Amino acid sequence: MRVVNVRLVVWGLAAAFGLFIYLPSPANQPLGKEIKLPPLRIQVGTKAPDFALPGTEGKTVRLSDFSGRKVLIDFYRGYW
Amino acid sequence: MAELGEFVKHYQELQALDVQVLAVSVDPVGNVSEARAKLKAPFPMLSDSDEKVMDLYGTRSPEYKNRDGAAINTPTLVLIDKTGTVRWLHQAADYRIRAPISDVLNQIHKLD
Repeated sequence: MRVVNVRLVVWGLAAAFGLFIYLPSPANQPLGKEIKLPPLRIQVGTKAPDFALPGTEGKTVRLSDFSGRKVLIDFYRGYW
Repeated sequence: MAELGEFVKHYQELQALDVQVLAVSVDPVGNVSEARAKLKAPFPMLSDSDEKVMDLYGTRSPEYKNRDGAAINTPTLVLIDKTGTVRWLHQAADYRIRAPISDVLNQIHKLD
């Protein structure tokens, strides 16, 4: 009987440890908080609206400056 | 700004594919210049400090603000083809998730 109890304790500890390892592992938890995003105001298949913004050289840059080329716009968070 | 770094790293490849990268945030021009110098970004980084383009495209984060309490973008990629048509959009509900550069390049290869 005594042997069985020791086994039970060992298995119990192993299970608890396993759970401890499993729960916080990155695969089981979202990286950050998931939030519900509002719909974008642009859509695939429609024209990208033109804009003009100041760049770092003091020059205004327009999306239409690059017409005839492929453009990848990265809206990034910046300082926060 | 991990993703911008990726675009810096793959800039030659993007150029070979005739893709112009434009980075847009609501930071004032001074901060953008600083960030651009730090990143050694060879592409334009633009200041949308009056939040107009953010609202034109609908990228305003519903949840997060920057340290000054101003709005920030939800990280968003917009791929536009030669005719000016939007061909691919990427956003993640979890802000720490970014599209891998391989996905971005795959999408670019689908154009033309």
